[in-house]
Amino acid sequence: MTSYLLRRDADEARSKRSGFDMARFRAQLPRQITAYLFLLPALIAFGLFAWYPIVNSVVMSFQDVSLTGASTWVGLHNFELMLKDPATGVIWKNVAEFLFWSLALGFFVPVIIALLVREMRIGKGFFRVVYFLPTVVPAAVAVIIWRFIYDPDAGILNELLRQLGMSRQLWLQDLTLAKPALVAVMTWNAFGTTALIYLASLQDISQELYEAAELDGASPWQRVLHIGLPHLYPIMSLMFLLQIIAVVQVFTEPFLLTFGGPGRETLTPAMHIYNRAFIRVDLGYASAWSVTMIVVLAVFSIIYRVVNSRLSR
Amino acid sequence: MDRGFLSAVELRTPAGRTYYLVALALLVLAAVLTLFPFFFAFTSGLKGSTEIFAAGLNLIPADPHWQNYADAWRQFNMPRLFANSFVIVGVGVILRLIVSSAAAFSLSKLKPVGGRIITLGFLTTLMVPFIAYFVPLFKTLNDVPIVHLNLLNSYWGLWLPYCVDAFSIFVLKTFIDRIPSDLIDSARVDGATALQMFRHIILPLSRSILIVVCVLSFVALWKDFLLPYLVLADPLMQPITVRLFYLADDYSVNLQMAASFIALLPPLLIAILLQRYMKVGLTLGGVKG
Amino acid sequence: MKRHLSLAILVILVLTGVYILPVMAQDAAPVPDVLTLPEQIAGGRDVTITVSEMPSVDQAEARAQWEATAQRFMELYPNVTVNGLELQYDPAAFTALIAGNQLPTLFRAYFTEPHKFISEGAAADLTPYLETAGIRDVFNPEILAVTSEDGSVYGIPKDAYALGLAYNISMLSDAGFDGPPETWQELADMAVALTDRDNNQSGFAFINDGSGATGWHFTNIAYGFGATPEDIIRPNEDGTFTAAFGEGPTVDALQFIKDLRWSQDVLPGATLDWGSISEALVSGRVAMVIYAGDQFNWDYTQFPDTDFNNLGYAPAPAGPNGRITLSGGNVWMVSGQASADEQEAAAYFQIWRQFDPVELQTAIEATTEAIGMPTLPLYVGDYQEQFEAFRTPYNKLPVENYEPFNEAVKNGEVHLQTEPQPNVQDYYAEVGVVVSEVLSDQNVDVATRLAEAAEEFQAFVLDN
Repeated sequence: MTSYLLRRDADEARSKRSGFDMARFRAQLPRQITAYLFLLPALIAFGLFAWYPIVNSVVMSFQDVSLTGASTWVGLHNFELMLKDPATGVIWKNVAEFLFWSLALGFFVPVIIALLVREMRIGKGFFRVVYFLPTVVPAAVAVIIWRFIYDPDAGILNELLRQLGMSRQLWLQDLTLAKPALVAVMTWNAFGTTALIYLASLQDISQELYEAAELDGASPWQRVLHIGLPHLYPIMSLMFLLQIIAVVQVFTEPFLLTFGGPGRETLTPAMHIYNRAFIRVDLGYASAWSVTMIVVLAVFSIIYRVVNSRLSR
Repeated sequence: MDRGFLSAVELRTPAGRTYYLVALALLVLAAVLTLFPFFFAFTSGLKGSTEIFAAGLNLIPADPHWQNYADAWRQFNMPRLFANSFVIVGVGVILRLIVSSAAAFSLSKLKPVGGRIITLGFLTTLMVPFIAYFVPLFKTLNDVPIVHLNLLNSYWGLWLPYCVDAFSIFVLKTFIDRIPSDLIDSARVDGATALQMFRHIILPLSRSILIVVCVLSFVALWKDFLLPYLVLADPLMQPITVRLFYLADDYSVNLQMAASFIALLPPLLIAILLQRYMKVGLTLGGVKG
Repeated sequence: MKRHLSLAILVILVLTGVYILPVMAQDAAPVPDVLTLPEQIAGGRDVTITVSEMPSVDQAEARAQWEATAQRFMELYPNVTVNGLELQYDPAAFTALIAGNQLPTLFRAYFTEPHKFISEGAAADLTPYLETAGIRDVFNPEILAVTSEDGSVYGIPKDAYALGLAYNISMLSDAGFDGPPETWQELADMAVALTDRDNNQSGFAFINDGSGATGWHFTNIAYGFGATPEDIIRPNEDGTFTAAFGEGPTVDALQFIKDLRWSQDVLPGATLDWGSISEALVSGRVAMVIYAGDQFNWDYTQFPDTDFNNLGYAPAPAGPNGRITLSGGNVWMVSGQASADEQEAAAYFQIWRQFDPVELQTAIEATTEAIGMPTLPLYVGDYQEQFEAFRTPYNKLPVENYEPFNEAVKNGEVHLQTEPQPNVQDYYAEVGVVVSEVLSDQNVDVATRLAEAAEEFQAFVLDN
């Protein structure tokens, strides 16, 4: 081994002088083999269970795919069908509305929570744990509980409304309430993570900055506005992007809680893909939607990057 | 002395005290709202099957039916469901950790040719929504190319896809990058093989980050629904998340609530006990979301 | 001491007698027997089959019976091994199993499903086995048609039911009604009187979760409004199909539902699926529901406190073409992906356990099923009569409450109409969404939206 290393060093020294030569390549080879042996499990796993299916998704979007037999090429047919699908417009409108609600209900909550917890002199740890707890709850279990909270006949929410003398709501069956009701569950399930990320970021701010600001006569509110928030902006902007990506591909909550209903009010692209692939067994059409989703998210990320770099310049 | 936006002096002024109390009140309110579903599931699980539909708030049942929890435990066959979940998630986490740390070690210290392209290839999978390649993934599991194995209805159909996690590789690689190369080089001079370096230098030094990745993976895999839902058709093999979804409709609401609460206990315990590690993980989690 | 002894004897008598007496007391109608089984299965070669729907371990008794049954078959045909699976039917999961070439050899499916399996080549042709066993003609041909294509039979029907109307007897009588509604208009009027929002009580309900089951219940209402299967999906002379549900009686039926929801306000707000509609009925939250006759079995096992004497069952109300209804049920199918020997063994296992007199006797004594449900006759002729006579002594439900339904079936008043074909599941799913929209949005124009759905169905399913 030692002699191998010495020889390698010598080879390396020589190759620096003369560019590529065979000896160097031969010396490098065992090391490269070792490197690739360590990479191999990941390469196989990614190859089989990520890269190959992703490529296949694109291929299938141009095919009529049979579950058991051969597939036939159909060109852009699946994408043409997408334009004819009356659900297409409804779905993208739903995405826009989901984005609105999730940003309205969910985007600022973690920021506020983080700013407030940062201010606590005692009990920080307690709040951290409490807000974090819902994030470990599997959506499949959360929906069982929330379904009953929202139950129009026996649920606790309507009971509360009744105690307050207000009329009952149908919640998940209501045209205007279904989306915010769903987003509330998603927010409950996720805001803790984001809040703690912000909190960790706030802890990084040097206390001297506050002291200096105080000496300059900045009010506490100005300190939040001019020191705290600006410090959070980069990570908030990242969270903004991530939240949008998460909302565009949301599946489990509408699938389990409303099954896309009432009507098509909570039908999302991911649910449509599932329905077409596994209920109608129209795999080619489902793949066309998959590809569209990938493209939409990619385009969005690029726009985000461009805008973001302009803004930060 | 720790301070926030408000200094210790300001806190003692009436205005500062008001600020503080309002903040505290808001946080307590948020905490109550956050915890309410847990509490609600717990007490609803203690109610009788008709009592649960009775009018009135009745948050705490007058005559708690502790028996419901025993019934839910037995009727949902909870021991079996927990065992399934622990096997699926446990092996899944271990395999993911092995695959990811080996890849991270290689990319960070062994300098494979084309390492940058491979890293990029790993990271692009983070940009593609899972559902978008789920259908072909399903076909792949049904008939794995080259070896022509069928992984459906087998735990391998979950474990192998669970090894794919660019986030873990990325986090581990970032960490291993910071381990001084001198350590590796001197080990090499001493005649250590790459495997020995990996086991005796890299892994021990990465212990803290490995625990973080492990805890995050555990929670993520425990929460997974779609993949086990479609891969495992046999009820005897399904994890608790999937089985509860199937069973919920078959039982009265009070038992559903009791069962849900029981199902939440393991992840909740982990969250509380391993909070320290999750906290570290979260700051990393920001990269992934 | 003596008293103790006699007490002990009494106890023993009661303990043993309880089991003997009911059987002795019955008029012991003979167990019907038509079955002819082959000497040998699969030419005596070793063969292993897997069978779905084995009861789970927490249902200890049912599980033990299941295993004992399998054991008896394996003793009858020593070359056959029967392995049970706890797998239960689920449309999406079974789609995956077809794709994965992983179907159990013998599995249960709903009446709506055979076409999917047949068209994917995933169902075995069972005609020769049914004919050898001499039971093909025993089946009610209308029901056997559900699982047949081009003259071949691909499934063994296990039970069949019609969609009718279940109702809460005391709620109806409290509101001054002495019986279930005869027409759909009467149903609407009664529902108004039966709705009491202050007590969480709705007059009428059907499955409304927006799934395929919603479409299924809705289609039953549409049939009541005079729709025929051809009014929904029309076969053309050239072998193509036209989605026709965008006009005619289907639209009327949807308008009827829209009025029930928005004008009369008699429908429940909760999302009701197959299981929760049962819960709503037995817990007194709805007065009348569209109901499958075999759901009484579900109530019987899931809600043991139910007061069955308070639940009645009638045929669906009459429309322009009389009392038209959809049927449903379960059918056992054999995997077309299995080998010939496996197919044969699986077919005979099902035939044997469904028709063997000893098995019938054993099963009926042990079953936890609610015998006496208002279902449809599965068989015809003498066999059906004998079969009914054999089961009557074991009734567990108040059969007199189902008289309106059973009488109507006997008198031929209930007309079974087949489901629209092809792709009925896709049609149900599509129209289920539309129903859900109408229930949640009062601005939906019924005719426009149904026409749009029909167009989509045409382009994506029928023409694709």
